[in-house]
Parts: sequence; structure tokens; C-alpha cells
Amino acid sequence: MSYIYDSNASNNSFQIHDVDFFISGSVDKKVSYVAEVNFQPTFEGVSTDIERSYIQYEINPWFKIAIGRFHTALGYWNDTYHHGSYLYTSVTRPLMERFEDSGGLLPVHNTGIEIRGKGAFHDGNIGYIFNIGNGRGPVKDPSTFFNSYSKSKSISASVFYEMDSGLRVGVNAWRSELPGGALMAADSTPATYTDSNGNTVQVTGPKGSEYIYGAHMVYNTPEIEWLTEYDLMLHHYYIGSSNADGSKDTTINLLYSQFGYHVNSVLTPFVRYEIDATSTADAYLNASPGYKATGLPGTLRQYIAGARYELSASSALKLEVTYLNSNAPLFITNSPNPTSNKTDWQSNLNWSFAW
Amino acid sequence: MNKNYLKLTFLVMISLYFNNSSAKAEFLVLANPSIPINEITKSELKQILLANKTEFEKKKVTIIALSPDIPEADAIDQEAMGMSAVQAKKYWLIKVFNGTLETTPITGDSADEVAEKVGETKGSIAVVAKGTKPGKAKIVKLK
Repeated sequence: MSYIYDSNASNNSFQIHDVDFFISGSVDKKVSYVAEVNFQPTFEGVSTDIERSYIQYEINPWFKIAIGRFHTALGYWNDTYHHGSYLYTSVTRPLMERFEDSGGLLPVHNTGIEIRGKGAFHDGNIGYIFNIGNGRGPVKDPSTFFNSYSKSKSISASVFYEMDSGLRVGVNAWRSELPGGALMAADSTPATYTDSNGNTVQVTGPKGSEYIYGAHMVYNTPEIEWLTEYDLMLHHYYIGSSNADGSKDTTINLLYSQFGYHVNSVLTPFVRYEIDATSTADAYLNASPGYKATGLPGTLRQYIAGARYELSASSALKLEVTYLNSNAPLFITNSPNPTSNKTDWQSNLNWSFAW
Repeated sequence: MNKNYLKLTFLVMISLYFNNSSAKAEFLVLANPSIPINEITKSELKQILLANKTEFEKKKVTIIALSPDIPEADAIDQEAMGMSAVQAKKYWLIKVFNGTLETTPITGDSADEVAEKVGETKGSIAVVAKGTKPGKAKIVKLK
């Protein structure tokens, strides 16, 4: 639950956020199942998503194999907090960690096979995650639940090391085809959307390939929480065949760094700096309906300061103030329309809980 | 910008800063008699409580914890796990969300209740304040 002030919105608003149902349990000693179903309020109503659903066989802690829909092996935030807003210190996710259907650029969900493991190594723990899946569709959203648009599958991998001191470092990589062509709707007909002029437009994307390379550093101690993640996203477009428009290859830099200080067991003030930057318009991301209003191409900078107060053992009150600065008109979270302004102030008072 | 928000945040933060009551605590490790150890290092214990080690001789370990609402839980969790009781609960929730743990640990509303649950639950382990009567649980010596 939130109460939001926004400098680009005409009214302050109460907002309800995602309702996240999580199921986890053992089928037997070796087999377990995890499901996460999320109800997300939108301007049009409520959208429902199966965010994760996988069955896992654990041979030993070093080797667990799962099949289903899961979060991709991209850094720390995506594989740690999932959809649980109570679990992270801030009210909002970093821009680069937003989900595909909420303006996010990274492929944070995938459907396929995952292998992961973790175990003691020297004075800490080493872990790895490897995914193979359907990968990207013709546009970034919706992510490919049950159909692959490419003959080759996407692969992603991450390796991390957690030290006893609370320091964790890791690297990750991803590769997927950008299949091009038309996005298909559930009834197997080409998907369409209505543009700002009221025209019906078929959703199609360019053909190419996507590479993502990232690194993260996390420092968690009784006093300090410091999270930093960086991803470099490269889009290479195939010129000539089905992508004769000669879309330019693009490089997108995504970074956030969040620092929190646990003043005592209940209060954590924090600050966060974020930057999403691309030098040129990206054909794949621009192909998604609504993408052009999210601030890119260009540079999107966000500065956040706030505090989290543990109201009880299972709920937290969070307050954050955000300043967003962009090269392009912004899409404001509690307004269905983009604004011509390139800056935005927001303050967000939130009460979240989990049990 | 709404200045009242900032003023309120500042006042809340200042008042809470002086509310810090963390202190070091001596603790006792209790285990169900089915756990095949009588001694443990502090580092091994931390690995179990952090759910990085989930088995003893291929048998699942069950963590039993003091409820975060008990005043002594903070100091004990800080000493044993390096985090406050609320942080520990959040940490275990993250492990559940990751599929590492099936559920967050069973909790007891007092050290005696935790000891009783450890005595009754096969494969369980817990940390409680020094001086707690173990009941049917056994005391595991810290190496």
C-alpha cells in the first residue's frame, strides 16, 4: 500500500501494489515445487501473471535441476528479491530491475531449464546458476511463456562468491536471438495495439541477437547494506534479410548503487543512484508498445533517499523521495499518459508485509 | 516537493537513532538428540542458521528460532548470525522465496518454548540464551 506525491501528476494518490502469492513445498525428499502468482494493479484493471512455476530435483546442494518458468540468472536483485517488495529495503525496484511489463529492459523471466548449485569454498560459499530457455520474443513484453520464436535457445549464466565478511561478488552473461517478425496473440493471430493516433498497429520486432554482460557487488553486514549492479546490453541487428531497415546496433548501460545503514534493528536510512543510458534509439526496445515513453533513448538518472522502519516482525513502513531526470519525456507511474516534462519529483510512503 | 514529508522523516530518524538497544549476548546451542554431533564451531553454526548448510549426514536440519518479538532475540541472532532478529526473519523469507528453504523456521515465544520444540522436532537445532534449561534437547558445545 502506498501514498504517492508526484510533481507531474495533478493529484496525490493512494495505490495498492502487487499481491504476490507464493507456494513452495517438497513433493518428496529430492523433488520440490515453487510457484509465484502475482496480481498487479494497472490503469486498466488487474493483470495476473505466473511469475515463477518450476519443479526442481536436488541431487545435492551443488547440483539442482529445475524445469519451468523462473527468473533469469542476471545479477543479485532479480534472483534474491523476486516479486517480494517487503524483502528489499526501498519502496521501488531499481529502474534496471523493473519487470518486462513495467518498463524494464532486461529479460528477467525465462521458461526452460535451470541448473544451480552452491557450497562451501575456502572461507565462503561459491554458487552458480545456468539457464537455457525460450529467450526473447519479437518484442520484450510479453516474455515467452510457452512458445519459442527462435530455433536456438537463450542461455544465461552467473557465478558468485559470498564471503564470511558479508561481501558477495558475482558476474553474469546472457545471449538470446532477437527473432524478428510478428508477435502472436493467444489465439495464434498477430498481436496488435492501438497507437496514440487511434490506428491499429501490428506488433513486430527486428531480427538480431542480444548479449548482456553484468557484474554485482553486495556488502551486507549488521550495520551496512550496499548493493551495486551493472549490466551492459548489446543489440546486434542482422542487416539484409528480414531486417532490411538497417537498424543500428546499440549499447545500453544499466547501473544502480544502493547504500543503507542499519541505525538499529528497526531503522535503515538509504540512498540510491541509478543510470540507464543508450546513445542511439534501439529498434528492438522501441518495437514494444509504450516503450518510447519510458525516457530512453538518452540518459535516465534517478536519485533516491529514504528510510525503512520495521513496524513489526513481518511488516515495514518505508518512505522514499525520488528525483528522476531524463533526456526524453517521462512516463509517470500514477498517470496513464506521458508528460512533456523531463524531470520528476516523487515521494512515496509505503507499508509492505510478508508472512 | 512536500516539505512536511521531509520534516517528518527527519524527526522520526532522529528519535529512533537513540532507540538502539543491541548488546552482545552469550548463547547456548540446543539440538534434538537425533542430530549426530555434540560439538560445533561458531562458523559451522552460522552456516546452518544462514541455510548455507542444510544437512547433517544427509539428513535435513530444521532451524527453530526465537520469535523476533522477544527482546533477547536481537542480541542472540546478532551474535550467532550477524544480523538482528527482524533481519534474520527477512533473510529466511528470501531463502524461502529462492526455494532454498521450504518455510521460515518454526519460532518459539520464549527460550523454554524453543527448547521444548527442539526436544520434540527431529533434526532440529536452535540458539537460545545461556542458562536456558534444555529439557529433552541436548546441549551442543561450541568449539
